[in-house]
Amino acid sequence: MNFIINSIGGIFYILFYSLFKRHNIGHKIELTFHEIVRTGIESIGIVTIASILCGLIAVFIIDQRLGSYIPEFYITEAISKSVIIELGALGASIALVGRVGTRITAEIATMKVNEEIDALETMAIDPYDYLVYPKMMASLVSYPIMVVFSELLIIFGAMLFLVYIKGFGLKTFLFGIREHFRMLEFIQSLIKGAVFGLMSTSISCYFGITASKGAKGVGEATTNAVVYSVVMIFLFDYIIIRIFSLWL
Amino acid sequence: MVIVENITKEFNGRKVLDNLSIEIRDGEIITIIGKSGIGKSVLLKSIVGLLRPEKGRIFIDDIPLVGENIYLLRRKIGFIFQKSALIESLNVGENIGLALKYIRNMPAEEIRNRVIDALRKVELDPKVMELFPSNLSGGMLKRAAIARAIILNPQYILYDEPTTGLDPIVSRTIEELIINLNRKMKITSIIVTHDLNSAVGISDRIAMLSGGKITFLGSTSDFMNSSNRDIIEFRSSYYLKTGE
Repeated sequence: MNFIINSIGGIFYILFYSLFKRHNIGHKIELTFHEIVRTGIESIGIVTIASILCGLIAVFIIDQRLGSYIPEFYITEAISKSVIIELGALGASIALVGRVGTRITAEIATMKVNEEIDALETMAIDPYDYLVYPKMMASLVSYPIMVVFSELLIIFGAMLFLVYIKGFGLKTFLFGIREHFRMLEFIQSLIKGAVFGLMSTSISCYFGITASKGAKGVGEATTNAVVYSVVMIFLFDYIIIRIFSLWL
Repeated sequence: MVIVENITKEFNGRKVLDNLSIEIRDGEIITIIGKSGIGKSVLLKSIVGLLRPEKGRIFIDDIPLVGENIYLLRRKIGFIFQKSALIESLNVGENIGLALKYIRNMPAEEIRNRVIDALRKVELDPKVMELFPSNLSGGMLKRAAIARAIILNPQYILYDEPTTGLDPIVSRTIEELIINLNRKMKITSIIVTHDLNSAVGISDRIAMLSGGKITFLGSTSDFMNSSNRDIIEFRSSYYLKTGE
């Protein structure tokens, strides 16, 4: 229990430190840009595969269960709503936790056990400034972008299935998607992306920085980071949905 | 001058440093010697503020090592880790110039010139700048770590087991480098080691750490002639092990 309380305290400390401490932004732009490339651009492959498959699965289930009872137009509504409200943000974020979160934890934990973080401190370089802050800012930028990218791909996957396999009209599909689009739902998905990105990155950094016990410690830290990230993503997903349900 | 005043450091209820005091004079090479696991590295890391003692105070040039002072005082101190601790994801040049880039905000060309200068001071070919730490031998890693420390023109360099894991020839060159830096750059050197030969070869003074306290502090010749029980035990076990 103590471990969980300490971990949550440490995670929120990293989160608030990165967001609210006065940083000398100038020399961190290069580091942040480098992290955006690693977090976003290098994750395009996994997000693409996960999103297209996610789209195919979602549309297959919707079509199989409801296709006989409701018109095509409403199937596109079901897809549009499920993707923008839930699947895009959740799918992309879980894929990014696996691709980016694990890398961040393993990288920082290895630096920790090799005394590289201590070395930074002895050079008067704040490891939070040098290692954590650029990763947090990169996640804040990359996750929402990847969420939008994922939403587009899921809808593309759904379109492939419905138009080319089930024989739906392309115009009907596109009209249905456009007709059911609501800006507030889209904003909700962007906020989810930003929150999931910040949470999972602060969790990954926390478990990296507190790692110990050599290679075994690096493995434990990475496992903990993934478990906590997934749980926190679902928890904050629920919280955001409840908040937005006041307006939607 | 570094003044360590009555510090106590505990790990899991065990006192590793127990009310320990020591004064380190400007410009000297002082070696803190003792058995493995006795707390030598803990003392060194306390002096640079990586570990915080539960009791006692540390002063560097009469400034207490607390709060915001820690980051300011670290600019006067270089630290050589036992395993060098170069950042694996950066090449040697980036490692050495890291603090100049992020602390001093120097332009790239000036950093490059100073990195080359630092590499020459530790007798490394500037070509190693492009190599990554995983491509370097143990001796080269130590030299690169020393270059990273001296590039900020520190007043003090703290060496944690600088010759451990190196063959005798490379160890000797590292010892000579430590002496040269001390003499030419007037850098106060604080070394912790369990290598008695190395300690005797390079130190102005030797301190014996035992039972969490400094049980002896004196010149090299005093150390070798001392009848202090800890020193006799340490000397005999060292020579028994090395067969000298």
